[in-house]
Order: sequence, then C-alpha cells, then structure tokens
Amino acid sequence: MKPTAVRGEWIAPASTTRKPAGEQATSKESFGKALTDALKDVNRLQIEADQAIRSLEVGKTGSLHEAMIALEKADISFRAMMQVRNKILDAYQEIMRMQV
Amino acid sequence: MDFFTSFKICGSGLEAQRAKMDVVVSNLANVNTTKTPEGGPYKRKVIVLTAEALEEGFESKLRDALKKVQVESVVEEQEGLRQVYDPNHPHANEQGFVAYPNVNVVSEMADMITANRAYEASVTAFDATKNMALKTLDIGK
Amino acid sequence: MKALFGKTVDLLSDMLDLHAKRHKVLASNVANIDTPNYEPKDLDFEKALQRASASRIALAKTDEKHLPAAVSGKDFSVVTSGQKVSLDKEMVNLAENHLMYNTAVELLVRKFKSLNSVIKEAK
Repeated sequence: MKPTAVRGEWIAPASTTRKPAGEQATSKESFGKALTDALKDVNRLQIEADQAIRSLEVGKTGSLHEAMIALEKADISFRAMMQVRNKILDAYQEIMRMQV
Repeated sequence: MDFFTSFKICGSGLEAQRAKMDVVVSNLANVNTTKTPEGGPYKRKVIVLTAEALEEGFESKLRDALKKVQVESVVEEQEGLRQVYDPNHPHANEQGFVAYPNVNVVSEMADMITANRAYEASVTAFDATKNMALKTLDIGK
Repeated sequence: MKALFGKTVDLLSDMLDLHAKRHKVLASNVANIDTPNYEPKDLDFEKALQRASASRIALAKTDEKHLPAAVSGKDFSVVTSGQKVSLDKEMVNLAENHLMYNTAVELLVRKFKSLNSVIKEAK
C-alpha cells in the first residue's frame, strides 16, 4: 500500500534513521516521493549486492570486501525500510481506528 | 580476485625457497662425491630465480608491481674444483689427482639458513593473507 | 538510504581496498627476496590515504573564490625503491598493513552493528 494520497501535512513517523541536517528541510517533497525514492535506493542496493556476488564468484574480478560490504548495506537498508513500513502501517491503522 | 592473487604470490615464494633448499641439500649431501653419472666430480649447483608477472589482468598500476617468483634454471658452477693428490683413489686420473667438488660447506649452510628465513617470511605473508580474508568474512556478523 | 551509511562506510571501504592492494605488493616483495635485480615496490600510502579521506569528507569552502577539491578516493601510485629487498623492512610493512586492514574491517563491523541496533531499537 502506498500512502501517495497523503501530502505535505503528514508527519513522518519517528523512524530513527539518521539524516544529515540538510535533508530534513525538504518538506516541499511529498512524502510519497520520498518513500519511492527510498524504495528505489533499497532496490538498487540489492541489485548491487547481487552484482558484487556475481563478480566475485563467477567473474573472478570482484573483491571479497566489496561483496561483503555490498551485502551488508543491502541487508541493513532493507531492514530499515521494513521498520519504516511497519511504522507507517501502525500509524495508518491508528488513524483508521480513530472515531470520526 | 583479491586474496587469491596474494595466495599465488606467496605460494610461488614458498615453492622457490623449497627448490633452493633442495639444491642446497643436494650440494651438502654430495660434498665429497668424486664421480657422477655424467662423469667427473659433483659440481656445485646454484638455483637461478626470476620474477614473473602474473597472468591475470589488473589495473595497470598494479600489474607491473605484482610479480611471482619462478625457478628459471639450476646451473652448475664449473670453477673451483679441488684437486687432491691421491694416486690410490679409484677415481684418480693419470696424474694421480682426484677432483673433489667445489662445494663449500660453510657457505652452503649459510644459504640454507637464508632459504629457511625466506621460507618463513613467505609463510608469514601467507598467514597474513588468510587472516585478512577470514577477517573480511566477519563483516556483517 | 545513502544517508543511512554516510561517508564513513565509503571511506572504510576505500581503505580496505588500498590495504588489500598494498598487501599484494608487499607479498610480491617477500616472494622475490632472492630474485636478483628485483627492486622492492610499495604504494605511496600517505598520499593515497589523504586523497581517500579528502574525497569522502567534503572540504569546507572558507572563501567563495576557493575551488572545490576534486580528488578520487582510489588513486594510488606504486613507488619503486632502488635497493635490494630488505627482508626486515618488508616484514615490518607487512605486519603494519595487516593490522591496519584488520582494524578497518573491525571498524566496519562495529559501524554496521551500531546501525543494526539503531534499526532494532526503532520498535
């Protein structure tokens, strides 16, 4: 589910992923766009991890530490994404529970 | 691949020093051999090592720097045979001289110790490579 | 997600790369102790390290007229010394490089662990 219908006033759930100070000021970006960008990043990291593994095992040109780091980055970013998703779901469900 | 190149280089070092050790041991064992199948006394053998580039392609900066060591050849030293006057020796020539090998035990022992040190150094490099590779696998544990 | 990892991970990754390359060069030196006419080689490490860290941490411009620093983190060059291989020097360099490599790996491990706990504590 994508909360694309929700725009600027939506307060981002309190995810504890660290952001440099500059990015927090971009409230002009819709929350949905920020989310899709993050999803794209996660996907890209997964693909990079796959490529690193392939170049290590099959192509024999990759290096071991690059593959390990790529795998770890993909894993962490994916889990961060899952946490963000859980928080969004929780917040959404709480909203839905509100008595109108 | 990163570490397997290092393994190859270290392996070549181990092999070369082992070959050198074999040559030194052969010299020591034959220090008094007066007759060989080729005729004449045993002549001191010396190993000749060369540096060879590795087959795989790397970025060009490293390619010239990485060299494994190869045994090029084993040459025989012809000079310095000791002639000893001993007409009763079965291998004496017409003048009664027996030619003994040009092997100097002391310098062969020194060579053996050097080969040993170099071998240990290659083993240390090999262990370091393996340790680094295993440590890299810890990323993400 | 890039902000999640920051520049530290990239810097450490570059350092790992440099140390791995240096290890190969030093192993070559050790293997070729007895090779006649072989000159020992090394990476010009200090410069490469400075370039790696400079490219990762953006240098602040203190004056408008300053040009931004444009360096790549992966540059290094091979230095050849003119003498024969000194076994002791090579072993010392090998040990130092080994230690620095392991240190970089350990730092990466801890960085990733701390990111992990950040994510876990988000519940």
